[in-house]
Amino acid sequence: MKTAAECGLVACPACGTITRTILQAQTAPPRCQLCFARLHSRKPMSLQRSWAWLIAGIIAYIPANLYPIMFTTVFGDSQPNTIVGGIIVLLELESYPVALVVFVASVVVPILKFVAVAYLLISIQRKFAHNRYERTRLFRMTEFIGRWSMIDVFVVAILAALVQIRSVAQIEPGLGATAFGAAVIFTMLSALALDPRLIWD
Amino acid sequence: MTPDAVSRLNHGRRRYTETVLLSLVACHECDLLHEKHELAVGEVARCVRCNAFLYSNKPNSIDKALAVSLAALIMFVVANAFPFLAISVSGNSQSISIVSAVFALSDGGMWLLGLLCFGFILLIPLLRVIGLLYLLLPLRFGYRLPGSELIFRGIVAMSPWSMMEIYLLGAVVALVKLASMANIELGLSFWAFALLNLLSALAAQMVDTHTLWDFLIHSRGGKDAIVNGGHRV
Repeated sequence: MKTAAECGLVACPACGTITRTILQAQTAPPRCQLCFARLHSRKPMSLQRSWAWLIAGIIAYIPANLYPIMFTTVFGDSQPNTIVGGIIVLLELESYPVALVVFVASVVVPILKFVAVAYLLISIQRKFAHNRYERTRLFRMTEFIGRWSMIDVFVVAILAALVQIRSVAQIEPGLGATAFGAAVIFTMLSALALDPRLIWD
Repeated sequence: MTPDAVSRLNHGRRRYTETVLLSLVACHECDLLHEKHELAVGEVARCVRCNAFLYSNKPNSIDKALAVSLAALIMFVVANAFPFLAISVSGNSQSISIVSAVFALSDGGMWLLGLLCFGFILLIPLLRVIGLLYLLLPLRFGYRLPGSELIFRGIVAMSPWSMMEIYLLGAVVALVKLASMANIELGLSFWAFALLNLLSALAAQMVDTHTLWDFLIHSRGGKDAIVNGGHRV
């Protein structure tokens, strides 16, 4: 039970070919001999980059909830809609499954993801030795589920394209949608920057 | 060059290339080393420590992935050539295609978000399908086109940013929101797009990256030939 790094080996991040680290350090920059990808044993500056994207994501999530993600105009009467407001509209329409999907995708997942990535980063920095397997699973889940938050941005885009019936109803996208999209993209980048191998080191 | 110099050069190269260890595989999530085993058809190897996927043995994976990718490319064209959704309210109707959502964002002054969405739902999925065909079609006949390694790395790196399935679910949510206020019509392209999503999920099932790397390396004469020959193809 030894890791590649403990044996002085490095696995190519793209094709997985194993190379001895001491010798590959001589060729600068080190590249995989089989697929020419840049070699690194752990993602470079993983924790710093992950923290930076995470903080950017949390900051972007604030205007995402404060500003309207779209404006609905029905018979000349314009109303701003926030993310939470959109979920309430779905509840009033009694489409509970869809309300649940949107609630999970745009409220539960982003917040859980902030908490999960922050917990993983702190646990790596404090060198926690317990629950390594569970933390790896948590990482895998965060990585898989984060992109689904983009659903709200797409809903706004589709509604804004579709509901363009002059004098009856019109939907315009709002600044909140850009902020929300940014929050989702930043947290995805945060999860991508985080190297799960650090959990086991 | 003197024979002596040639032998020195070869010696140096061999010492360098011996460092590639072909029988080992390291878990990409916890870095644990495993000895590679020959798998039975349909078997999957997982990390003993963190249970991450390591490699698998899928029968006829190139043929199947090629068929599915070709079908996906055709569906991509169909999905973008016809109306996606249409609504009608009191005699007025409006019909959109898939790309209309992107224009709605950029027309609303959010050109950056529109540009990103264009990448997520159209450009990146299309590049991935074309890239996969560029790899698989020649591999099917045992040769390779230049830049295959770079393209394959690109396909893998782009995979989290291909968001067609999320867009499809977004369309369903948008329709539910409108269902009580307007008459909704699903266009031909909606069904083509749903099928495209199914096909791209299938394509991912058909061939895993580890197998495809093995095929790519095999098309260059195998790992030993690359390592000992030292030449870049």
